[in-house]
Amino acid sequence: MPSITRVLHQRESGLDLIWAYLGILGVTTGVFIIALGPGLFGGTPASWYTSWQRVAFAPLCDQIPSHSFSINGVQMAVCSRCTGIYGALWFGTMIFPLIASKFLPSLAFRRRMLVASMVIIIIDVLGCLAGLWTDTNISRLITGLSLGFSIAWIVAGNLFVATKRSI
Amino acid sequence: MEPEINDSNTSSYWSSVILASVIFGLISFALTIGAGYYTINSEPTNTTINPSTIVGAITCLFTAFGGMLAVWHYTREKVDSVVLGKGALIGLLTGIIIGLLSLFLSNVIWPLIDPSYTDKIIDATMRTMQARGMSQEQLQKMSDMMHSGSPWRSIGYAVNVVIFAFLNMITGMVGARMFSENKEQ
Amino acid sequence: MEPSSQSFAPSKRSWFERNGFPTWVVVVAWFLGSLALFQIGGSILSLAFIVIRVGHMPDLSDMNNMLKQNLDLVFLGNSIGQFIFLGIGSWFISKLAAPGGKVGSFTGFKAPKNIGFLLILALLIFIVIQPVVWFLGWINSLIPFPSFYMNFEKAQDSILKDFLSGNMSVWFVLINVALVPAIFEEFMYRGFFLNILKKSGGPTLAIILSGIMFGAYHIRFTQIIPLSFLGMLLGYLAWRSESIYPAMIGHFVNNGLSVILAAFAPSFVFSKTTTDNMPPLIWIVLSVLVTGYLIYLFVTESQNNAKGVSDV
Repeated sequence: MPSITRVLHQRESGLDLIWAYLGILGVTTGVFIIALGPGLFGGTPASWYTSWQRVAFAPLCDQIPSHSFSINGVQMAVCSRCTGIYGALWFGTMIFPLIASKFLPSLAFRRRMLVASMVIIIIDVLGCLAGLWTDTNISRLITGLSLGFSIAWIVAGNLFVATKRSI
Repeated sequence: MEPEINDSNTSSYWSSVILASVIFGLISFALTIGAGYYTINSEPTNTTINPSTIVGAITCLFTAFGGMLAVWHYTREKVDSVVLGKGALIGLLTGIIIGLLSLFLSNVIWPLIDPSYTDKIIDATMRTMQARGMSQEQLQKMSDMMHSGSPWRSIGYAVNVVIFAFLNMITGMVGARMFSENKEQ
Repeated sequence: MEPSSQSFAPSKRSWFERNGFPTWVVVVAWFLGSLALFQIGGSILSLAFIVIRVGHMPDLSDMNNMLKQNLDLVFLGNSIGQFIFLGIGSWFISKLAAPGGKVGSFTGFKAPKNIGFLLILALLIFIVIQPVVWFLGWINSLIPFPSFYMNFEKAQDSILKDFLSGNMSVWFVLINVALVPAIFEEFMYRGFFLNILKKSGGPTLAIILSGIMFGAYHIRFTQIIPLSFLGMLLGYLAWRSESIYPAMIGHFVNNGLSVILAAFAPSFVFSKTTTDNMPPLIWIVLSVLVTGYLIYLFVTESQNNAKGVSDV
């Protein structure tokens, strides 16, 4: 089965590629906004548990209050690590075209970056579980950011390498 | 010189396998049933080594040589010599059939001839366990398990077949070495 | 590009081949033989250690209690049994099965250039795939088994649970439950069985059969589906990389994870992740997608090795 990048590359114009990029950017933006939680939309702490944002992310995140940031005094819909992941997915996708023309690491490097970020998260979780160290919201955010950026740079990078264009 | 592998005769060892496994299967069955009736008719004993267990051990050792007999017959009737691997194969198949045949005769055919055999064996076993000091409660539990046809018995039968297969595989290999060398001499 | 196939001049034939042993006879004989030797030998060793500790032979009626009170010795006997029968025993059998008697190359004890990256990928694969394994365990639990067998498995489960959640050192448990099986079970299944079946039946049959044998060997038919699946995945990684090391790491991580979680998050392991309930669907979907991608990376890296390419 041909990859989506090859299918796009076979078309004459790069417009389809741009639409694919905008689509991905739209999805990552939407997911990140929802992850920020009801506080962004005027919600209150009392309504947090029943908010649709919390329910949407409940199967994916433990949503522990002490592990989460807040907006306007209302807990986000995801923990600090997931905030980092979704935030970096959005931001990494957004800024990629701006810097890809100047600096584009090889696919092998970007894959190794992805694997390294997964390993860091696993070491962090297991170490914390074993009592070797204590996580903070900032440390969890940083590990989440590394994973989010790695994923974004592989997905966005594949799109742009296919046509060697930059916006 | 390595013995030639006569691949065109791959199907012809079956007659040797079946002959040996029928002979040894029948003997194994006869010895097992004989030991069973001896146990039924004798006084219970609390010794581990008694005529019944001795006969059991002899039966096991004796039927191990079915593989060797099958290989001997094969080299005498069909081919000049047999490689080690074929000896193992012939022995393995012989052992499996001996085990299955003995099982079939003991548990399917004989109960048609003497329907009370199984109950008598269970009672004799209970008497022996009682002589060895087993409590009434444990005896009742054991009796219920044996009468209800515990599924663990099926596993025991399967283990028996595997043991027969292994022992005969080894004697089959020994037979391949012995009878091939004799032929070359 | 497929991993390289092994072809050998007649002088490099294995002892089994020179003596006309059919592959299936060797496989069945060693599978049943090693299982019997390990079960009997391991049990005798454990019993001997218990007798040495308590100073007398325990009564049959008291055996269950004795085992529960001396779980460390039970697992020690198990580990030594694995070393002797699965390790040394499989080495002898591999010597007879290996072309030219070269056990190391036959069983996959070789490290390709990018072995470090392959090991990390194998580690991640066996962490991320856990929701799928849990799901397969739930599927398996839907198969009805006779009550006598369920009682037998419950007894086995309780022994394992006591060992994992007992007051023994985590390192001791990790060595006996994760490290020892990762070395000796992998040597037997992915080292010997996979390679001997591959020679006569091709890689697909070898991976499937060795996986099913791995599942059956544990004598836990309520877990045979997930165990066989794990066995096949380990076999696939070993075949693709032409090395046994990724499979060893994967096995270690799979077993080690339950040890770590049982020690530090027991309620999660013993209550939440039981096979009475299915994992959340989103976890299964994500697990499949991420594992699939990691396996794709693994295959790509292995193919690059085979081509002699160092970067993409």
